[in-house]
Amino acid sequence: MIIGEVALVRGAVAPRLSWRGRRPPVRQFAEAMLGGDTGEAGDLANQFLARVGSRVAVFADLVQPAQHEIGDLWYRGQISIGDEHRAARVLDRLVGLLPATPSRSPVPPGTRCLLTLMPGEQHTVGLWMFALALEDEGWEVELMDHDSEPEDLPTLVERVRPRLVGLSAGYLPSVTRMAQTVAAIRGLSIPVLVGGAAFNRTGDLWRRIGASAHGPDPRIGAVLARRLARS
Amino acid sequence: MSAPAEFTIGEVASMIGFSPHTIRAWERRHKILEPHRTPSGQRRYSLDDIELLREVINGVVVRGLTLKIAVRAAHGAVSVPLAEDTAVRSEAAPVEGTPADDGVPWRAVADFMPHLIAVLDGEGCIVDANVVLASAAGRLREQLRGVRFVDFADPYDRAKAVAAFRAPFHRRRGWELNLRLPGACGLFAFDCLPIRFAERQLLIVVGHDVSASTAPSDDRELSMTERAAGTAAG
Repeated sequence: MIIGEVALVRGAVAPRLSWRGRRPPVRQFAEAMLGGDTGEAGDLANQFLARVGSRVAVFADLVQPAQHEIGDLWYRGQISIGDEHRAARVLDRLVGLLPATPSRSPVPPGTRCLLTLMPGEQHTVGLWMFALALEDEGWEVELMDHDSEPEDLPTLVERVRPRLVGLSAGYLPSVTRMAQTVAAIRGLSIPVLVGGAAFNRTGDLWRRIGASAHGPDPRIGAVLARRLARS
Repeated sequence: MSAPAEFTIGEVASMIGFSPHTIRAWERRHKILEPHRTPSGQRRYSLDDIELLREVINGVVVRGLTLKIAVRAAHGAVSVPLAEDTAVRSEAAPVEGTPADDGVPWRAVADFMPHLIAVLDGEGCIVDANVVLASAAGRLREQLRGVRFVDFADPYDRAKAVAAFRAPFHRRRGWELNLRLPGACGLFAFDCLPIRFAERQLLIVVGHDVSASTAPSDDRELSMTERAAGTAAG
């Protein structure tokens, strides 16, 4: 484990951060991310995971609030874009290193979903966290290449016939284009769950583009996905 | 296959990471929300209820508020500032020869348009604006000079806006931003055009209101212009 190795090296030269509180160590985690310290961030994430016992809880209660905190610091001019990118790199490495925590009541075997981003979208970590959350719930997740054109998506959906399509967007370059894609998929009687910062900051946008539901974080998204797959 | 409308307390507990017992206790002690009940008395929560719970939890967990304050903040009963206050003013006075000079034809054109129009400097501060923007901001046009344009954005959108409205500028079309202005609140699509003027890099931003409709009617546009012209002389 890279986290373990880095933490071991760090432990020889500096005291490791530890956390034993009740609240998620959001600020400490954000500071570790901004410092580019994967080991420290990994320690905090693993300690929190040990307490809550759920990977998706780490995403929803620790990672996402820390991302929000970093965005806020950037706005206030207290960190640079370079700091923000360093934090994003730490997160990219960390997310995949957290061990899976399978659900005790998974979805039926073979329940498949297709997850994708809008073309040119650079914010991929949110969708990745959602994919891991769904895998913990027993879903078979297919992550599409983020360079795929939305016009190609309905054809692929028709071929794969997933129980759910997930679309993520940080920015929305074209609401109309996304609405057309959603309408084409829902025309195949397959629900579309949307997520990402673009939808989080504009409460009713998911309704305007005709999506089936909006998951503001991976944990809520996973519950909604289960409900949509049942309906 | 429409949007799920109601959720059981178990589903809500799974969504927010707290037990059903805790949610019931919050309802009882803090009147956090009042879910709809089925004829048999079972609680049913809407998506709005879940959003409210998330806001409360975010207030407690991330911002360190007490539960009582977080509940009141989520209900809008108290205002807890997220960041340092807005309306940071700079020394961005218009330099001689820029579009901000009084009497130049651009103002007549900009004021005729129904959209929000501003000229920004390399720091994202307003050099000049049309009468519609001044009216929406509830200020005289001169009072807008030097104000950071991002201070008109919804707090959630500010980080995104800071990068876009700082040099080097890029040309964009339909770039979306939520504004919070006294006279214009909602989602706007901005067309951004970088220009060089008198050795300065400037950005012209033109905002179209897309909150209510993707294609506002001519009537609506005209009334907005007329209203602005009547209230914000600049």
